[in-house]
Formats: sequence, C-alpha cells, structure tokens
Amino acid sequence: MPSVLIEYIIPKMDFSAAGKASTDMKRRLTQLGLPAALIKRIAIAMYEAEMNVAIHGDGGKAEVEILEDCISTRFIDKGPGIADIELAMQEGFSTASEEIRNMGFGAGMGLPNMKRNADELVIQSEPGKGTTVIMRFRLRQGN
Amino acid sequence: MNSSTTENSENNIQTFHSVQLDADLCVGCTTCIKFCPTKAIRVRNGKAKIFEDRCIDCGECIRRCPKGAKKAISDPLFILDGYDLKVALPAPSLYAQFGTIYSQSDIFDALHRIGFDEVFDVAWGAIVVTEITRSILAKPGPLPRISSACPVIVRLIQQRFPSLIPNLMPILPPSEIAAREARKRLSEIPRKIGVFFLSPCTAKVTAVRMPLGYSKSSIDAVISFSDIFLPLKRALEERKPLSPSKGFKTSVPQAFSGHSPILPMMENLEPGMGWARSDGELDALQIPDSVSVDGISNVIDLFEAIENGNIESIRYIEALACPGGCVGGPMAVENPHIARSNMRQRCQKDNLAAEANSSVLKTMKPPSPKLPEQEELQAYIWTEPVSPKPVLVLDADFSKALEMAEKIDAIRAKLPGIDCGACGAPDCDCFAEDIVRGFASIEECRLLESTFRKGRNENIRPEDQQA
Repeated sequence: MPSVLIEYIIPKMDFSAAGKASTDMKRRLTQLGLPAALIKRIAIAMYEAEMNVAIHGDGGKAEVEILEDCISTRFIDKGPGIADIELAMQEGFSTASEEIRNMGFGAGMGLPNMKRNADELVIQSEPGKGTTVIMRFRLRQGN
Repeated sequence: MNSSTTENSENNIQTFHSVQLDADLCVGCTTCIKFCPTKAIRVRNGKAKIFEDRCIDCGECIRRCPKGAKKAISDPLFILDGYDLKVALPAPSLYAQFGTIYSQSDIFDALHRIGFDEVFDVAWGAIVVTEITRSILAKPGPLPRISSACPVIVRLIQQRFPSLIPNLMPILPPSEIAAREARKRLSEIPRKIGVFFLSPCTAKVTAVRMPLGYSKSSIDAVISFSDIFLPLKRALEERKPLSPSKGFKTSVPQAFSGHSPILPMMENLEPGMGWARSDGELDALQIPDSVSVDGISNVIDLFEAIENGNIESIRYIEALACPGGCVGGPMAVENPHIARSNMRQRCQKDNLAAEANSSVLKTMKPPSPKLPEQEELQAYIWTEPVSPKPVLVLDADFSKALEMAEKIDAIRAKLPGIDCGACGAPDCDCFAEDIVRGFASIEECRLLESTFRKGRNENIRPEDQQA
C-alpha cells in the first residue's frame, strides 16, 4: 500500500515559520486531489497544533503520514506538558502569557478547534515530560 | 495572433492565453520559472515553455523576463474597422497614463478623435460592483469575502485555493457590467456596434474570451494601453487641455471636436476611478474590517493564512495580482508608482474643487451617475458556477496519486535541494514531480550530472526516472 511520511521541525516561538507544515501539507493534499473542505479542515487543525508546539511546547516536530484510508498527524514536543487535559480542552482556557495574547494568540481555542476539525484527537501528556497530540482524518467517508 | 471577435473565438476556447512566449527572444535563462506563481513554466531545450493549463495570465513573467520574451496578446487597433459604431470602455487606470494635465473631457475628446464614436467609463461598472458588494456583505456568508474583480485572483483561487471559491464575490467584473450597460443604452441604434475594452491587463484579455462566472462576454475586443498609448497621446497633444482643472471634473462643457456622442460623459465617477490603484475598491466600499492586498505573492501569503484559519476577523479582501493594483498591469505604459500618484492627485483635486464649490453651489447637489435599480443589479451576478481547476492533481485516482507522491518524495530525497533551476524546473520539488509525471528525467539535474558521468553515484541511477 502506498504511503507518504513527512516530518516537519517546529522551532520554538518562531511565529514566522509557524504554519509552514500546514501550508506544505495543503500543497501535498491538493496534489492528491482531496476535497477542498477536507484539506481546509486538516490545514486549520494542523496550524493550531503547530502553534501549540511553538508557543507552549518549546518547539518540537510534526510527523504526518498519508495512507490510503486516513491521514495521521502526530505533534511531539518536550515542553512542560499539560497538567489537566480536560481543563485544557475547554474553550477559552489558556495558559498563554500576556505577551502571547497580545500577539493575537492564546485565546484558548486551539485544542477545541483541533477537536472540531479532526476525526479523532488523542492527547498524551505528562507534566515535565512533554506532549504528543495525535490527530487523524478519515479519507473517503462512506467507503 | 488571433484578432477574432467573441463569436469566432469560441473555436479556440480551450487554448487561448494572453501571455505568450516569443521563442526568438527567449534565451532559456530560467528567470521566469522562478517567479511564476503557479509554477507553470519550464525551460526545455533552451526555451521557456508555458503549461497552458496552469497559466493564470498574471503577466508576472512579462514583468520579470530580462529579454522581453514574454508578450501580452491583445487585439489590434485595426479591429475597430469591422464595426460601424465603436464604443471605447476605458479602464480607470487609463486616466493615470498621461500625467495630470488632461481632464476626463480631454481624454474623452482624444478617444473620439482616434476613432471611437462613443466612450463609456468602466469606472461606472466599478461603482455598480461596489453597490452589489455592499448588499452581499449585508447578508450572511463565508468570511472573509474576496473581491472577484481581478481575473487573476479568480483563476488563482480556482487552481490553488479551491476551498476559497465560496468566499469569492459572485459579481461580474466592472468592464463587463460597463459593456452590457453601454450596449443597452445604444440598443436603439441600428448599426453594427463594437465594444472595445481599453485595458492594462493581460488576464482581462483572457477573461473576455474565456469568461469565468458568466458564459459570454459583451466585449468584442480588448485593446492594450501599450497599443493605444501613442495614438492617444498624439491626439491629446494636438490641442490644449480643455479645462483648467487637472482632476476629472471640468468647468467647461464637453465640446467634443465635431462629435455629438449619444452617451454623455458621466461625472462623479471618482469612487470607481479609484479602482485603478490598490485600496481604491476599499475606499469606495467604506466598510470596516477590510483588507487590501496587491502583488501576487502577497496575495498568496494572505490566502495561505486564511486557509490555515488564523484570519477570521476580516470581512472583505480586495486582492489584486499586480503591484499597486491595475496601474501596475503588464500592458500599462506609465510607471505604476507614478500612475498611482497621478490617480491620487486627480481624485484629491476633485475633492478640493468640490469643497470650494460647495459654498457657492450649496443647493446644487452634483449629479450622481445613474445606477441601475436594486432588482436590476441581479443581472450582474454570476450565472455560471466557478469550479475548482484540479490541474495540480497527480491522478484522479487517489491510490495512484498517493503512489506517485511516494515516488516524488523518494526522488526528491536524492536531489540536491538548492532549487537552482538549471534543470528547467523552478525547484527540486517541481522537478521531482515532473520526473514522476513523465515530463523530465533525473539526468537533467545539472548538479547530479557530473556524478552520472563518473558513474560513482550509488544512490541515483537513470532507471529512477521510471520508478
């Protein structure tokens, strides 16, 4: 079965680079002929995850695997981790600093937005050990 | 070139592009391939080659080619000869091509003297588009809404940002609206009417022959500023400027040299005239949370950000492919920065004149250009769907496409990755894709070439191209 695996490095606090993974993925998924609405969902979810890794996770990486039936993304950082995942999932909850908020980020919509756009969202985290966010997107619904 | 009218251009509807290569002048230097926003150009056998299905007629290659080997095809002036009643539709940016000495009347008069019987300003169409845009923005819809006035932007979205198609304003372009109105106002005249759009824009030449959002253009031909500039300038210089005002307005009644046109010169078109430059559309629209972006690479950056979902507070985007807006069009003559300034000065002067007059003429409200009634505006909404143009898709079958993507990545990993362009493709990603699509072979990589010759590269074998 054909598959493509791509790895992206996400630098810490580099806002100009943030979005590179989602932008590159959009290009790839367009080449694969996926529906525009699905590509948009993936781009939005990936962008949020990238920003999280850059802002909260001290940088890290993203691994994206494109398979015949699904796209699986994994965002890995070695940052401070999330103490209470359930709380972090609530809309409006954010631990972002004032500085980050002033830049227009940290509205507490990142994880809820990812959940809304991904078909499956798994968060693995332990304080002090970093966070791994896995998002899956099903392809060819109905098949 | 094909100087056909709309009727007989239907035969080559699939193939026409305004942007063309002059192979004699092309030296195969690879400059254009680097700047093409849709990566539609390759250098093959020492000459540039445009992939017609990917070209959006932005004219960026015309701007960048150091040898002048990229040309804009438009209709020749002698096309006027085939019609009895010739109507000129000047794009607002035409008024920015001749400094600020000549008034709107002067330019009207000159247009009459070089062979046009009637003149109808595209600025009128721009004002109509503003009206329709306002009414659409008042209703719910996907945000941000994106102006569809620039035909390059519509084609860019179709190809590269299909998820933004619903965000496009489904409105006919100002030139088309002006053409239909001019025809309507002249419909009683029993003569063969020819409607000629005077344009700085390559993409509008293409858009007239292959419209998007509507099925048939009411414009018979598109004459470029570069073709009309000299005759018009000569006609302007033949006589003294008619009016003391350097703006659009004139205190002198329109005394057209011997002509008595049926369509009167319209005044108070400034909000539409402003469309000649970037910000003009927003200045006319006057709505909060709107953004103006010009220059195709800036437009692409903004669209990427929108697709990533991080630009939500914006309601409206004026997106123009050319730097500075339409005054920066590939077929414009005046330097775009000077043209921008000319346009701004004209509009400012008119505002000052209006203020000075207001105390004297308090009771005399300047006549507004007569606009269509609300229900008539419906006629200017797109009648045809604009669908995604999947030219970038590797294969219609997802499994096959994925298989090709896998091969592209494998080849890409072996390439030097410095995007030198010497193979004729703009970057290594594109080159790898071209190899898998069968357009190129890996031996064309100039950096790997020496290793092929020495036969000591273990990773790369010519068979990879069949991979």
